[in-house]
Amino acid sequence: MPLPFIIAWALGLGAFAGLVIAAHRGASARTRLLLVLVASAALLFLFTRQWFALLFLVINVGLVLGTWRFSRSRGWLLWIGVIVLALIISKLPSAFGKSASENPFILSLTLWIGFSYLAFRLIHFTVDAHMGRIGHTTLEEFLIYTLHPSSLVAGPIDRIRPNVSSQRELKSFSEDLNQGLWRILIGAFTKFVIANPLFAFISAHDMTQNPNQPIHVAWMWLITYSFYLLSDFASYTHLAIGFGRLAGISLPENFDRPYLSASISLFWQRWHMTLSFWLRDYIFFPLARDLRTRFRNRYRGLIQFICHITTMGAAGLWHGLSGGFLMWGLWHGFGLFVHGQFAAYRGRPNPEQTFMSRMRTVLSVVATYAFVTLGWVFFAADLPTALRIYGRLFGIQR
Amino acid sequence: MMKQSPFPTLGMFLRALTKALIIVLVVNALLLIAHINPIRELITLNTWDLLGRGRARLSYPSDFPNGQLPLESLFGAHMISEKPKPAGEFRVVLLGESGIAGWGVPDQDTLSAQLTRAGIAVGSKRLVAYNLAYPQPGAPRDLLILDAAIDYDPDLVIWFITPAALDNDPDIAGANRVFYNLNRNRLERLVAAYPDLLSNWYTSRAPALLDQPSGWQRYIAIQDQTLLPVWMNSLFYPFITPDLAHSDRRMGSEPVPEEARFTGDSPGFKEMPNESWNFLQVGCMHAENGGANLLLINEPMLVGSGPHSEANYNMNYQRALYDRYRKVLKSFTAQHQIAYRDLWNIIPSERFTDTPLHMDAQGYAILSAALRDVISEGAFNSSCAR
Repeated sequence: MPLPFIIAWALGLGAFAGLVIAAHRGASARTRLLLVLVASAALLFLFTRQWFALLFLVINVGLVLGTWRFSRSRGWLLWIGVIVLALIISKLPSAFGKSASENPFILSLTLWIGFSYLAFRLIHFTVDAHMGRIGHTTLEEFLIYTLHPSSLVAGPIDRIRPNVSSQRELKSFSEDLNQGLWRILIGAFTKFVIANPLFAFISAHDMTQNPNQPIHVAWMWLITYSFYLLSDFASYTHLAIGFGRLAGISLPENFDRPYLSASISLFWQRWHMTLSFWLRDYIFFPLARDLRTRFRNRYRGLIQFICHITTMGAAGLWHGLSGGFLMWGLWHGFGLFVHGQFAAYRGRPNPEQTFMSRMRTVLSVVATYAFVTLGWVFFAADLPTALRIYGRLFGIQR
Repeated sequence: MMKQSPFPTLGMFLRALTKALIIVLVVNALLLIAHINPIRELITLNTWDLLGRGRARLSYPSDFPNGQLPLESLFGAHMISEKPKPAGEFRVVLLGESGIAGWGVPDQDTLSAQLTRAGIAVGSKRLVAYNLAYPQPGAPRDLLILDAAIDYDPDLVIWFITPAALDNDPDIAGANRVFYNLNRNRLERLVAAYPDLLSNWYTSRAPALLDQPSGWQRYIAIQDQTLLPVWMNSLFYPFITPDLAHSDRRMGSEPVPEEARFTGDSPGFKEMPNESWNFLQVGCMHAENGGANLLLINEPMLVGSGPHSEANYNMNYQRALYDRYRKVLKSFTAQHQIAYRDLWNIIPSERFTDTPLHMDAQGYAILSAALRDVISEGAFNSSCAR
């Protein structure tokens, strides 16, 4: 192993071990912040194997300090614009697709790891600070919240108040170790025993590279892909929560058996929960409130449609600036709108459990899974390829 | 999945973790000592033997890129394994690539079906041909199939060969990588049985051809995870109608391309014969050792006309390369006393479909008639010399 990697491993593990001890010995926030920065820098270097990635850590620190400075000023809205612009820039590689590798600047942006999560944390802080919902928080606590290595790479998009509360709480070392190691074990199992074999299968039958495979391969690929996405992402959440717990911070859950949801609305309360709750709180509700006020409760259906489409369109673009991601978001936005209209007409469900109601629930779960899984085609491929894959899935030659 | 630790204390958790680790290490050690690879054991279980029996071919065009299986399973689903060989049957197995497998034609129009239908008498027996061709060229791969076929007591092995099957470029051998990995034990057994002919080829290609666990990976019993997706896919095959890849294209009416795929400068043909050719010799010896004769046929191909045909025979072969190959093959088979017929140009160009080797039903009828003459003459007694 080259020397820089040995040093990075030693620094990273040392800093993290220090963080574990510091969190349970009541060390000062400044000490913990120093350890957070060293551990995060080591993690980014080991993850990307590029020194250049550390530049993005510096940019992240700059944006975090900027957020601290501007969130309570009159320029808060402008600052949100700056964060959104930075988010768009970080997503440029997805907009360029395969040609991104030809442009060194665009290519370098692929090293801006985890900024999507950080950007949404910063917007949350800016808005809530402006609204006076943050409470007392020190700069060190804010920096630990935003730059903590456990949630640096793959989220979750946690909120500042519970995070800071957990930073301040002095917890039982053995209990945190018990719970944290258990979650890390579950995460490693999910990643290496479930997600990686599923990935081997979808790579061997990659419809995005060769959409002209037989119909049974197309369906197997899609179903496997749906479980790969869940297990892979859930494994990162397990690991983040586990490592966070070791280092004394509580991170929120992100998944709750989403493929057992009986409707698309329930699905979004159980899939990538921290993202969907963020989207609800910072796009859907403000937009719905604004439109309802503006049109005085007229055009309710149209407003619902606009809010769902805008929110989920943004969710799609948050994953990447491509037609496929946008379509994936719109697919879900449309699904949420239709379900919302349908649910409004259907009225309140009967709480009594009958055979028919159970059957209806089973069918709803299957239908929701089918809807979500068909949507993953847009998530996996660019738009033209996605259409070709749909052609194969439904036996239409394209 | 349980999100809260089920262990009331850290000590209990660590004790359970240590015990689990010890069990894993012991099981791993036992598997390594017993030379058991769980994945290799797993992939021998498949739905073909149970539900996909009686297939006329080892694989179909749609199957072969991903649906590769160990030869035991491919043979288990093939009609050759359906029942014991009847006393009056003169059993012929056909080896070759997609042209002989019958790419684009239904089972009843393939060469093997037409040969069987011809009702050829060989002594007091009646000829029944079995299609054991596999879509993709590769003499080493054909030898593996021949080795598996010996268990089914053939009287004659007819092996159709093309220059591409003898391509000595190590990268080309990599195209059959999954197949070699699935049949690794068989390949290693053959190399051990014919070391002076095959060990050079094997030693130079093994690193690229076969999954090689390195360093600490050697001490993990569960290897070959890459075979799992291939195996999973194959489980569905009995439920799927084979894609015969029918094509209305008529390559014989198309101009010959200016550049051929294989030329004298192609790395695998600079030297002929080369170590890939040893597989022909081993095939002949192995068939004889198994009680069968081997007849080597230079497979018919499209001989194009018009512009560029003075330089190339078709999209695959440059004239100079192909003529040299034929000349070398003739002297090679004579030197090693391998029964050989060169049928390279007996099929009219209008009988070829989407490649210079794939034919329509009439094309296979012409080839069947030519083979009938060869067999009737009894010109298939090799006596291979090392």
